[in-house]
Amino acid sequence: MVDWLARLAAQDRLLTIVGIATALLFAIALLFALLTIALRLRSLRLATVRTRLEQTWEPLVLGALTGDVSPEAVRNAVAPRDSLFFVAYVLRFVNRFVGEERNTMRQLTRPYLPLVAAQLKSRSAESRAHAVQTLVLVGMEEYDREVLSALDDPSLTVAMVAARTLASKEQTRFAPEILGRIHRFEHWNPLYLASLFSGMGSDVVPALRQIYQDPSSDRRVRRVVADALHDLDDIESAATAHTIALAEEDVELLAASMRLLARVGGPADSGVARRALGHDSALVRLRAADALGELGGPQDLLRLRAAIDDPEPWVSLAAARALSRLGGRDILESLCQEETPRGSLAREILSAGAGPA
Amino acid sequence: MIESFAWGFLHAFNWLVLGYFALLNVTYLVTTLAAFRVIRRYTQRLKTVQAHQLLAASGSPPITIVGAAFNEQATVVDAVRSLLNLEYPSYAIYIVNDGSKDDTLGVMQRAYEMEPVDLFPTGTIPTGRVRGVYRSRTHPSLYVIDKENGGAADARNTGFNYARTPLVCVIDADSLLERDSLLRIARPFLEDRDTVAAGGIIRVINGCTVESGFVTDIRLPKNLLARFQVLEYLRAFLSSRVGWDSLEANFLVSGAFGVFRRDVLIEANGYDRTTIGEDMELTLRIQRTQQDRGARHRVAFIPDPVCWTEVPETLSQLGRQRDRWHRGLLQVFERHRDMVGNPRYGPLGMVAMPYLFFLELYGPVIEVLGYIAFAITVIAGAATLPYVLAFTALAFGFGMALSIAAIALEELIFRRYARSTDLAQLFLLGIVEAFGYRQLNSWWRIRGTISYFRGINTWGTMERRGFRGGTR
Repeated sequence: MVDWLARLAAQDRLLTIVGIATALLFAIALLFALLTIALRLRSLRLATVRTRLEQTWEPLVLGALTGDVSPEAVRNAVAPRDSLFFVAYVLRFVNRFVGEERNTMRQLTRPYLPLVAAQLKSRSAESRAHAVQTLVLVGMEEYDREVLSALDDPSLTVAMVAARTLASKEQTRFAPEILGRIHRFEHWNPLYLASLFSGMGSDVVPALRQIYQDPSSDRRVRRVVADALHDLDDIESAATAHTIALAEEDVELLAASMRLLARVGGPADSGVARRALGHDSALVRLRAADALGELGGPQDLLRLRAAIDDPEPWVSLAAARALSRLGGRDILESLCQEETPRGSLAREILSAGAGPA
Repeated sequence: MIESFAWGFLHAFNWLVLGYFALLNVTYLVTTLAAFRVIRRYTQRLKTVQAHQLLAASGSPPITIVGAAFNEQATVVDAVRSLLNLEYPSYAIYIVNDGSKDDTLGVMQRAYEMEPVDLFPTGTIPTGRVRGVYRSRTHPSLYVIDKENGGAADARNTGFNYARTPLVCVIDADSLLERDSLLRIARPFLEDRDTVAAGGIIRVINGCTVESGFVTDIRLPKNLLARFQVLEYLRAFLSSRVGWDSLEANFLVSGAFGVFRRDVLIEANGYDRTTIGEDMELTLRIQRTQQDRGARHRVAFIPDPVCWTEVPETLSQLGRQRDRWHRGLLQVFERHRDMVGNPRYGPLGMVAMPYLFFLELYGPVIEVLGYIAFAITVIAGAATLPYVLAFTALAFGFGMALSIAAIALEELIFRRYARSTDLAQLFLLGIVEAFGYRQLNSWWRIRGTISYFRGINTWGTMERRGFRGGTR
């Protein structure tokens, strides 16, 4: 058979090529099949081993939490090859505890943290990110330097994971470092980024205010910061928001400032909102209508009635909501009879917000 | 003279088919290998950035789920029940009843106590007339928009007009999302402000057990055609979409499960109501619009958010579906042919569009003519037995390698088919599908080409069995 094939191949180059390609493909298929089987066997074995380890560790860890088992006894049950899995096991539960219990959980992982820290030097960005996350969640202050350096990691994934895990009320000591690198996270969704900063709590407000009022800061960053200050209800930012709203040309920053004013401003800021209601940008008009609903008074009812006819439906919606807040139900009721989108809008608002927020 | 010309032509054509075949399969192989690299990294990344961490974040953008329903009385209540139990901080559900002739609206009204409400549309996409909007008394985030029949694209566009959230998730009303699908698919929108759309994976629900609107036991279907489609879907999503995504050349966010930025959808005027390949058409149109106005944008594919869908189990239904898909592809190229080989559109224009145009669009014609030419060559005695065997083995080897690679990708990260017997059957399917199933597919796609040139533009219908009743 082999001789026959060899003779054929020698006679015909095309057949040789096709034969080799076919053999190669069969080899690839076989390789993938073996890989699949190996992966399946490995995952089955891992699942068995890990279930057994977890069954062994669970009573010991619970005992350590109640003080019935010493930390040494727990450590004795963790073989060196299982130490990283033990850290991952503890990591799963560490956020469910607070105070002393949480500290006990963290202490249990302490002997293994150098191994985790060593992964910060890994070539794989994902491994570095995983190490950073672990060190922040179960690590002690002794790893602050390593964790902070991750904010400057060449991989944005690592920096992102570091910022995300560091940005919490429990770890406000990291806030200045995160805010100092805010430009690195510009590509994130602005609202998500804002919620990340506001999640750090009121301790970060002074730093946020400084960025917000600094004209040399990037406008996109200032916009995110305005949203964070909005989430934090920072009344003292109203004056800055007022100033920015009067002079700013960047539409997004202007709109974010109007939004902030609507939350923390007062009647003295209503003039800014009135002015912005005539802005070219629909986004700014929308925020202005919303702000006017919070800061304005009866003198704004007709202005808002006119805004209901804005060509941009979102502005109409914001104006109708603002009218309702300022007590302009009569105006809305007069629109209710219309079988037009405007009539539908008035009916929606009057029926106590049938629409989604 | 004529005979010599005919033989020359046949010879040349055989070479053309061989070239097509080699190029097509090498493309598949390249995207599959790229997918391996991506999925391996993605697995590692999942350990670090878990979707549930995002749940805790107050900045998760609210989502409106828009499901178009036409004659879905058998499945819509269960499908909605599953949607109501998704894990996501803030979302609304809009079921758009597209003038169903059955009792879709009635079953929704009874099951969820829907009452008429006024809702102001904030979008301006032209659509069919809306007859009424209903809101559930028991689930205030659930709405039904009842409209005159206008097709799936028109129904979805109606939902977009009423949506008030930054993100809109498009699903088929007869599909089931996994509980954490929204969390997972929202991720690219959080991590990259330029993301305009993202697609998730579609899996075959036939054969699985469904309880309370969620898939609780995953098995291969009993029906052979549905089994082949399991393998096809694994190849299409894990090998192909992941691979194209790694090349930044995503050309399709499926209408069965995809998330879009609402402002981008409205700006693009929603789905094109005149094409039946509306999901690919929209994906391409969004990208070219963004590119033409110089806006940075990204269309992502995320392999772990899962949408379960029922696939056809009869030859006639499957044939109609594939016929429709291919007509849709032809229609897409009516509108976007100028993107083919256009460097303005980056890898999408330079790699993905030529692949679709030369290999997918006219591939079936070349393939079937290739079978005929090959048969003539053999019958006329111009090809010896070793040739016949070698080329058959080559075709078979490519198909098998690609299918088994897709199974390996599945095993690398998801391992949904936990039973070893299911895994063994998947291997077997990878081996046997080259004999018959592949040729049938080519024939259906040729039929789609013929229908297209005959001006047929209908969807056809698919009978649904419903999710109730355990194992399907």
